Amino acid sequence: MFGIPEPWWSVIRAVVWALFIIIFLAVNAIVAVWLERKVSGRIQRRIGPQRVGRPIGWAQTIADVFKLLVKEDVRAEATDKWVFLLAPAIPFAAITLMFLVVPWGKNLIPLNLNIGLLFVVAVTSFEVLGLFMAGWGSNNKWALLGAMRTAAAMISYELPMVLAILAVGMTAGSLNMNDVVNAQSRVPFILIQPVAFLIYYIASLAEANRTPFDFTEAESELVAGANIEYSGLRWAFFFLAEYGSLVGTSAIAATLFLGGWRGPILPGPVWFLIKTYLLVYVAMWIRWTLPRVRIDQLLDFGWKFLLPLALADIAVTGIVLALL
Amino acid sequence: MNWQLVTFYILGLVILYAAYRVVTSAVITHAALWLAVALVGVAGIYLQLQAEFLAIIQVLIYVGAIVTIIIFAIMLSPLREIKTEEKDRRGGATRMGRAVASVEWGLAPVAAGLLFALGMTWAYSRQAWPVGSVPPGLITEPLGKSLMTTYLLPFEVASVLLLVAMVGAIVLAIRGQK
Repeated sequence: MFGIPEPWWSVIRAVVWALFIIIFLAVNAIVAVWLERKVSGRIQRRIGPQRVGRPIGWAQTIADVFKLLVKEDVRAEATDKWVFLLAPAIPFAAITLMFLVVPWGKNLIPLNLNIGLLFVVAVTSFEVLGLFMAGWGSNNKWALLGAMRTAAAMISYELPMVLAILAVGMTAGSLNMNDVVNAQSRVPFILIQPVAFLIYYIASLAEANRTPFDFTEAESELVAGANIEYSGLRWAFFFLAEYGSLVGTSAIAATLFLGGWRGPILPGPVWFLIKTYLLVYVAMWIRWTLPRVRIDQLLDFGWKFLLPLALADIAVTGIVLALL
Repeated sequence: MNWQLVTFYILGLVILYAAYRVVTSAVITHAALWLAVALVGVAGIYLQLQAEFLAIIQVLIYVGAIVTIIIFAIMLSPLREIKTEEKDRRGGATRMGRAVASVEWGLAPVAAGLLFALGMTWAYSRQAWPVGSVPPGLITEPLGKSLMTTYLLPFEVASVLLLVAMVGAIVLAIRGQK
C-alpha cells in the first residue's frame, strides 16, 4: 500500500497502533479523573473542580499531570532496587496489551487474534505481578498488606471472570473478538447472557480495584496500598494503569455484551466510545454510592456466590446450545 | 539473516539466564520473579511455533496463576522479609570485577546458558529429535476435540489428581490448625 513493501507496512501499522493505544490511555486517565471528580461532586451535592479551566474545571487534571511530571522520583534506601523500579511498568504493560485485541470498528482492530478472548484473560492475569513487586519491593508493611489483598482478590475474581467470558465465547461460537461483535448484529449479548454480564461487571470492578472492592488501597485502612512508597512519574504509572484498567474492562464489557462498535447512524468508533464510557460512568456511580466491603466478605462473595453462579451459567448455556 | 533464528536464540538465552537465576537467587521472591520471566520466554517460543493457544494458556496458567500463588505463599511466610545488605562502597573497578565473577548473577549464568544452548544446537543438528511440519491455521479446535474424545480418560484422570491434591492441602491445613 502507498508503494511501501509489505513487511515495512505491517511494522508501520504496529507502531501507529501502539502509539495510538498509549496516547489513548494517557488521555483517558486525564478525562476519567476529571469525570470522576465531577461525578463524585455531583453525588455528594458539591460542585467539584471549577477554578482551573472555568467554568467546568477541565484544566485541573492537566495541571495535576504537570505537577506529577516535575516531582522528584524518590526511592528509599531499604527498598529492593530493581524490583521497586520495574514494578510500575508491569500493570501499565498489561493494560496496553489488553487493548491489542479490542475492535474499534469494522476492520479497525490492532491484532485480529483467533483467540482474542483468551488473550484478554491472559494479559490481565499478570497485572497482579506488578502490584506484588511494588508491595514487596517497597519493604513497607502497608504496601505488603495492600499487595497481599490484591493477590487474594485477583485469584478469587479471575475465575468467575474467565467463566463469564467463556459463556460469551460459547454463545458466539468463537473466541475471536470480531466474531463476537458480528454475532451481536441482531441482539446484544447482554439480553442473551444477563447473568454473565453481571458476573463480568462485578468481577471487573474487583479487577480494576474500584469501590466497593478498593480494599487494595483502602485509604482509611492502609494509607495507600501497594503504591505507597512511590512518587512522581512512577506513581503516575500506577495511576495510569488503574484508570486504564477501568476503561479496559469497560471496553471489553462493551464489546462482549453491548454489541461493541455496532449501532445506528454514528460511525463505529463513536459507538464504541459511547458504550465504553457509559460503563465507566456506571462504575463511578457505584463507587460514590456504595461503601467498601470487608476483605473477607469480598472473598466469600467471590468463592461462594459468584463462582457457583458462573459455573451454573456455563452449564445452562451448554444445555441450551445443545438443545437448539 | 534468518530473523526467526535470531529471535529464537535471544528468547532461549533469556529463558536460560532466568532459569539459572531461579536456582541461584538468594532471595526467594527474586527466584519467583525470575521464574515468571522464564515462563514468559517459553510462551514466546510457543508463539514462534505458531501455537498461540499454548502460548496464551502458558501465560495464563503459569504466570497468572502459579507464580501468583507461589508469591502469595511467600508473602504469608517469614521468608518475605527483605534483608537490607551492607552496601558495597568499594571502587567501581572492584565492584565490576566482583559482578563479572559472581556465580549468582555475573557472567556465569550467561556462560552456562550459552553452553547449554550450544549443546542443544549440536544435538539438534545431529537430528536427535526430528520434527514434522505443523499444519497451518487454528490449533485450538483440534486440540479441544482431541481432549474431549481421544484423550478424555487421561484428561479426567489429571483433573482427579488435581482434586486429590487440593483435598490433601485442605486436610493438612485443618490438621495444622488444631
